[in-house]
Amino acid sequence: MAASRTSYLLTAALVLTALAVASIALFGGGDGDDNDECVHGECGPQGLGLPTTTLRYSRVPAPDTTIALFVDLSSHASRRLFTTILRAIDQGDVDSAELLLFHAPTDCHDSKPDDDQAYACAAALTVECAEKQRPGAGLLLAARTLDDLWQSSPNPDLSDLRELLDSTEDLGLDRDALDTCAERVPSVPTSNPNMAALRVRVHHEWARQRGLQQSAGGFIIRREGPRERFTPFGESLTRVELGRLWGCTGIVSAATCDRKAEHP
Amino acid sequence: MSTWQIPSQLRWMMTAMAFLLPLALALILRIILMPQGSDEDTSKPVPVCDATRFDDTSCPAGTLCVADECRTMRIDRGASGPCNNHSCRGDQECFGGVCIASDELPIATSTCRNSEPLLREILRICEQTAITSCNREDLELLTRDGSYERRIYELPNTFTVHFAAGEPKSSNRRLKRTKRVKRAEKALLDKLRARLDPLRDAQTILVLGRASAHTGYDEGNSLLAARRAELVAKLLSEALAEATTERDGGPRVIFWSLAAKSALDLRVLQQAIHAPPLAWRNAQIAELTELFAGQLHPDKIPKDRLNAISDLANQLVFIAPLPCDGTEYFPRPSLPPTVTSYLDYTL
Repeated sequence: MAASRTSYLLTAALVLTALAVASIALFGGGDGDDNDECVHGECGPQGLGLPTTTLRYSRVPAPDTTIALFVDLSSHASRRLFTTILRAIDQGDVDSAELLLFHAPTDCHDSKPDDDQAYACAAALTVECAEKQRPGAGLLLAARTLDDLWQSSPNPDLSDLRELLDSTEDLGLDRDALDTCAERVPSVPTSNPNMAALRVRVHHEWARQRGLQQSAGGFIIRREGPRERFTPFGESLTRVELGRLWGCTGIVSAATCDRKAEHP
Repeated sequence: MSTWQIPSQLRWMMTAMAFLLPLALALILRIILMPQGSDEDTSKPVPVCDATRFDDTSCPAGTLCVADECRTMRIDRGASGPCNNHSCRGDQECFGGVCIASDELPIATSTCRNSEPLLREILRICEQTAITSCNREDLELLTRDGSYERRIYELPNTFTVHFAAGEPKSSNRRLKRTKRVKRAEKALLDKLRARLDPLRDAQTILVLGRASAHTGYDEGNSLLAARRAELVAKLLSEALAEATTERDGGPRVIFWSLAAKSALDLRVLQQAIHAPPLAWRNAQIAELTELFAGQLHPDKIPKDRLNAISDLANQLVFIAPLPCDGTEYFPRPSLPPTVTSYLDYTL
């Protein structure tokens, strides 16, 4: 009897072990892994780890898509990409989306910056200072700075920026405070650091570390459930391409992306 | 009491089956529950890339890194291509079906951009791509709508020539006083020469003749307005021809007249025009000069005088330089109007 009971117990233990192994085989590892690593195009909750920005546009309260755009405010390529993306969002080429604006790398600490660099750095800093002074004004000022390239093209300089600021009274900014904010040197450590300048610097470093070598570029980030899928893009992106990239970044639509390409 | 007596071999076989069956079941279920598209994935593995980087070069030519997989996304650059089958580089714009670098585009000046609605409407009526190809019939048709007539007067650097009632006389009576007419023409030509500076850079100069809405008869007024416009256009062309080389060509002058279709609103004229009028022969321009200088206020003068000044205003010829011909590149603002309104609202 004792031998028989032992064999039954042994059998039960083996069945339980087999069930445990089977459940791991069924549900464990692979695509469903719930860790924070980015695996096969999907990321855990930490996502891309984008730096902070408050330069944002969206008409929906909880957008499913983020378009993170890095711009150099002295470049026509950035102006064009900014315009392309805003029109795509506004006219529904990408659904339920927001634009987050960041600053593309520029060497703001060069001892002898050329006019373009000096303009780009000053413009980026001024936009951040405007945003800090009056939330919402930063994006409008960024747009006007980009539009102003048509006036000052091909080589905008700091006097162009001053002229532009002279004509932005409607944004309700305190001009003196804006000038003071934009003139403070970020690299000098003080007890009261210039947060606007630090933010520009963080954007520059982040994009540089991600290998952004053009004046503009960004990521399409789609959230489906708790996960994010993303796709980088460069400065030549057109509206048609943006719509297509957005579709292909989705989990469901990605599977059919290649097939559509073969049979458009 | 008898218990089941299972042979030892059978017991071990059952034990082995109990262990293997769940595993086999799990394997079958896993294959069934594999994600869609697995056919593609198993037969032809999709190359992987790093979608967290801008500079990842893992993807073969013709593919893009989408969510860490190299996808052969076909972007149709054929018939529906954004710029005549081409996709322009980031620093280029599509202009006339060709990709042109932004700093090489013939960008419309800000004055020109301010006139864009009028330019577009003229081109729509002309069914042309350049204003210089439009003719006087098109402009006459356009200005039957008073709002467009007003927009012409609002063009920067518009000025006027005033003619006294019945002037200039018709050509069949002109023979008798050729010398007087010639002297008057020379005098006006000299005055026009002095006003040429802002006209030289114009692509087209619009010359619109008027005749009083309150006096005379319709047919006579139409002929009178046409004579005025023709005379000013002729003298203006002469002055421009002297001032421009043959190679430059100079602006094209288009003239037409509206006779007495409707009386002009003095308030509108005062807002639109500031240059003092030129006078043909014995024309009295003192009151019109005061009006354009803002020294007379139409709302504060007696009705009789207002009517008299209104008659004077309807004897004017308007000279309006169009700064561009509509073929320039008109930059669009970065923000669509709806976005601007929304951001302004949330500010």
